[in-house]
Amino acid sequence: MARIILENVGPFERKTIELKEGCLNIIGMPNASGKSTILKAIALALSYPYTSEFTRRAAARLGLWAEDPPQPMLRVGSNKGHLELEINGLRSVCEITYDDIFRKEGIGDDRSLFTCFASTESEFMREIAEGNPDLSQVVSALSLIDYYKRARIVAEEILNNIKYIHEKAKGALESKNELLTKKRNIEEELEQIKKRIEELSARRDSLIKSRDPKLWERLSTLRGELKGINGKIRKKEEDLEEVYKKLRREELEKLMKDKEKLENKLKEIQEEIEKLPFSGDREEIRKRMDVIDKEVTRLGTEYSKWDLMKRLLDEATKVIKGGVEGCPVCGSPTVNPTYIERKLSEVTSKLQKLEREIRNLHNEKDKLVKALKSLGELKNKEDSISSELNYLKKLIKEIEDNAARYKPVIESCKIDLEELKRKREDVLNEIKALEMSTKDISDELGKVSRGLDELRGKQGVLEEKLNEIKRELGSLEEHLEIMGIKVPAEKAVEICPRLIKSLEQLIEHLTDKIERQKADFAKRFNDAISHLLRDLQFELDAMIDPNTLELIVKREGKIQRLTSLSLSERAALALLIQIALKEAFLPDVPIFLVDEVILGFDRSRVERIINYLLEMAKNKGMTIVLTRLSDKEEVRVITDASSNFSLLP
Amino acid sequence: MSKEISLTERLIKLVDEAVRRKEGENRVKSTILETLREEIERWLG
Repeated sequence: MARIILENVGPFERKTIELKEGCLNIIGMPNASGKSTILKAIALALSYPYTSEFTRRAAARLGLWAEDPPQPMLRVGSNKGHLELEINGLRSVCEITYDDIFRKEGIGDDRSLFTCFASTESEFMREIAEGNPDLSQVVSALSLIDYYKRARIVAEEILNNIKYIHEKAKGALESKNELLTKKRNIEEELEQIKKRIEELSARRDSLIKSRDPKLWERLSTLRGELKGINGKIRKKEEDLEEVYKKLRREELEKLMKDKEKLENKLKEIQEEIEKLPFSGDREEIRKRMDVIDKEVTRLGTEYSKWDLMKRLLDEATKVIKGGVEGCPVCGSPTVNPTYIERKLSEVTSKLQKLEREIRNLHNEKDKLVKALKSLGELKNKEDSISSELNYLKKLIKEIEDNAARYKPVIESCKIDLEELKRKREDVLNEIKALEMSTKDISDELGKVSRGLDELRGKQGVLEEKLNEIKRELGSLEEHLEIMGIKVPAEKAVEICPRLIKSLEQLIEHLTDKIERQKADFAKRFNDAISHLLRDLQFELDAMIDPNTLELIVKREGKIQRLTSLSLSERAALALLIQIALKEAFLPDVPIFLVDEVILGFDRSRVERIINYLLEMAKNKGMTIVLTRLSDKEEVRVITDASSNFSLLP
Repeated sequence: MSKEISLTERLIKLVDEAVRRKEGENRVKSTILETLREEIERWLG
């Protein structure tokens, strides 16, 4: 006897269902009373936990398990459900909470979902019923193909990474070798230069030794003296320069220029004064003004006299014209008009002359007044410029007095300089003479020294290059990283091919495994389904293509499209595939569940399938559970076929 | 030569074992990497 106990599962608070082992158990409960829940609970007890993404998804679609709470099998309003399955010595206990499911006893095998549970809610069965021949997901669930594929992808990723590192290491090594070659060449060149320097140094020593010591000694002394004299000359010149600085030459020059400007201005003013009346002599001007005043007064008096005369004459003229008796001038009883006229003309002329003289005197006086005013202004300017000029002269005198003080020092410096230059001339002449006598040796020594200088210059450049190469080599020797381990490029170049080879072999092995898995799956499945179809006298042949993992259906040897089969045929085929999968892959699990699948099959097909299930139960001691056999005809089929059944509850 | 074979064999053995235990990609990856690291370290001495 097998048993399933449900507590707070589905609609049941507590339910125990006794199942007959090695028998067909029919759950004939009414609709919506929990028939499917009982089968799902058995399936859950058999299959939990779900190890792959694919089985998790399948369980979620069947309503056995949910990634997000609440768990679908838990009774609504309960905190904890309990599920207990005992069958053929297999015991499985699970507890269901709001968040999760916990296995308490037994071991679940999630492949059961695809082998032991034929349900109209199963995605796989629905796909077959709808005419989709793709079995790859079932193959993935029942084999390790997907795992091998994923492992192969991982291995390929790592392989590519190592190949990349290998290339990088090879590049680094090539650069390094190039630099090492350059380094070697430079070192060789430097070695040659060093030898050449040694040779030239030896030659120079031998030349030095070959010279007349006394002559060279004298030459050396003279050169020393020349050096000393040059030093002294430089010093004297500096001293002289220093003294000149103290003479304030520039300042003096500026002051002299300013002085000249002021003197010119003063001269201009003095010339202007000179142009004034009486050459700008104020006293003379004033005297002349006094004379003018007196003259004007005198002329005024005279003018008044003559003016009176004129008035008298005018009166006389009136008398003549008006017939007045007696002469108003001379008192004569007769008036001589000719005399009067002549006299008037003389008087008038005299008056005019006096007027001119007086006017001239006034003009002269005006000029003299203006001259006096200008003279005042010019004299003020003259005073100011003279004062400025005096100040400048004082400054200039100071500087000149100072210069006079330094004059002896300058003179002495100049004499010393001349003396030193004479001495230098003498020494140079002597040196020239001596050099002429040692010209040959000097020339060669010069050549050797120049050669040495040139070689040393080249040596410096090459050493700098060598250092640069060494620095570059240093940076290249920074290690590469393989799997987080620092490895020098030389080592990486050696180890990478080994790793690559092993990974390639691993990938080859995994590919082989995948192919084998496919082939093995196809063989086991194809054997089972062909056996089943033959036993059930199905008019079809079915098999899986190991390459495409698609179902191939043949009728009378000809390939048929799955969609060309009738709906009933496809539904029956789906159930047979499920049974075949069970027999091929999990034959030892002693239970097989069929939920509502048989509904709609034609009678002969139902009979054959039921008979097959009955044989399966009897021969293999398997507990088979069916739901939805409400149709009396179907029940009769079972009861007619065998007594090996149990009608529940 | 023996080292190469040994590394390949170890890799195959470990990956087969991981697949048999239905281990995830990350676990398989770390298994392979760990094996390769051991090999590199042994080789570097």
